[in-house]
Amino acid sequence: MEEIVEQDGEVARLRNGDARSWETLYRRVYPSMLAYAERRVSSKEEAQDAVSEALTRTVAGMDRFACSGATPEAWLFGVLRHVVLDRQRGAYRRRDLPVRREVTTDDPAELAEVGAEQVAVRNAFALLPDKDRDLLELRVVAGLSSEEVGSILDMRPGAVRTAQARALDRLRSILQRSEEVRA
Amino acid sequence: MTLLMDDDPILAALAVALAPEPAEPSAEAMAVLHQALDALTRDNEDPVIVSFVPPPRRSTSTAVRRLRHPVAAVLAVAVLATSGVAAAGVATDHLPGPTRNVAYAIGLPVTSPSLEAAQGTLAVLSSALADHEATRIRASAAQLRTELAGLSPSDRARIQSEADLLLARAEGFLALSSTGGGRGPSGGSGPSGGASAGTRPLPGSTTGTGDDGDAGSGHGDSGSTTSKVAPVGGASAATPTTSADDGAGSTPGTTSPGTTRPGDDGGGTSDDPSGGGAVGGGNGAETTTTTPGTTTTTRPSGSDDGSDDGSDDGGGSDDGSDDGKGGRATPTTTRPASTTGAPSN
Repeated sequence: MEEIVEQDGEVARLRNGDARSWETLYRRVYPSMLAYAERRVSSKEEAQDAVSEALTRTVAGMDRFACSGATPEAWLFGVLRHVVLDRQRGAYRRRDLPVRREVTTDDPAELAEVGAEQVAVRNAFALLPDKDRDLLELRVVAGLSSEEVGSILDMRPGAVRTAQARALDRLRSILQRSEEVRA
Repeated sequence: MTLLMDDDPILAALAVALAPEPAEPSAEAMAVLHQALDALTRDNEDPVIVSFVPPPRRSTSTAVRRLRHPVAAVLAVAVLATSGVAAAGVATDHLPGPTRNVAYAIGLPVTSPSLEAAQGTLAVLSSALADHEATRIRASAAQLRTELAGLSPSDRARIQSEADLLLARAEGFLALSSTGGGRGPSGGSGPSGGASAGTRPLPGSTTGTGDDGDAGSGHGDSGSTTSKVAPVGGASAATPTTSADDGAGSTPGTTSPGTTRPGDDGGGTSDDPSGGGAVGGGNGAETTTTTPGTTTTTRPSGSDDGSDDGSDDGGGSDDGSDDGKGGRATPTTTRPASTTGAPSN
């Protein structure tokens, strides 16, 4: 209950245009938003622009956000997803398809740094369909609940959980195949 | 890696693998945020109400602006007034001449101008006849004949009967006025007990004996009338018939007494009680009608039941209402020496 009251207080301050509250929110969600964008656009700079645009859109649509009942993080990721999709469509029209910026390195030094398991998971994640990657990233990286992810992806929470389980099954299958290949 | 076969370990591994690198929004990004917040604050302080106001209708405002020009305004008023008058005129068929011409020309359901003129002349002629003004009667009758000649068949059919009637009356009046002088005699009307009295002298009356001199309002035929007596069961019924002459005076002297043509009503029926179409209601009473220059005396000689249908045209030979029982009205007419049976005009 205390968390809800605190969240409502944050939303009220955000709605009133409190700059400090917005700065705090921005700093809190910026890394995950940037990571989400970086995996979907062609460059880090474009990812930064996408995050900035998403924040600007959120401020401009503050009234709708306040009435939605969503958390600020969920609202921001929802806006960011639309911004990224717009940029992807623009890149498709320009035939400037973004490359997947997944860490798929076989560099021994990097492998030693991050660990073989993490590299294998990243590689397997990069092979997932876009829909699965989108869902898992919102759930794992952004830390959103099934309800919040459902509001962003226009899905029911139960459907989000089902889709998440299927995405993890596919990820698991990829990891098993990779292990078998290595063995 | 076997630990990743469960959901929770694989989610944890995924969270670690995809964990974002530490990052801070740049100063530029913060500036953009503050600009957005400033814009939001300005919008809240100065709420834009205009967006909720429906945009003005372009067509109306444009039309109003055009009407500000004096010439355009005058033209608009003129068009509206003309249209309104025309619409009302078409609806009521009361239109001024030029407007009627235009309306008739474009096919609106209005009376044709020529028919309208003829109807107007009819009204003038009727008024002149009522006033016994010979000059107006003569002029309007001549004009009416001219206008009738110019009418289309359908238009002429609409007023033919009325025109014929009035023209006949006019002819009769003018005939009398020319022979008797001044305004024609009036009177000679009314029911005649037990007998029909021909009360309208018309130029077609060729007998000259039964003409009672009424020239005022009768519009019976000018031909002679005979009674065809058909014995039925010991009683005879008089069936007055008339000649084909419609009394318009157009064929003076062409009828002959004693002839009977079935179906020819001669127009002298009792549609005008003031004239010769009197309905005999009495029985055996003597009626004397005196008009300037003419005295008509009807003296019943039998049991006339007064069933005269009023079709008597004034011809002296008509017995009209004889029911075949022996009774017979015998009109006796005293006429001035100057009276003749032929119209003078």
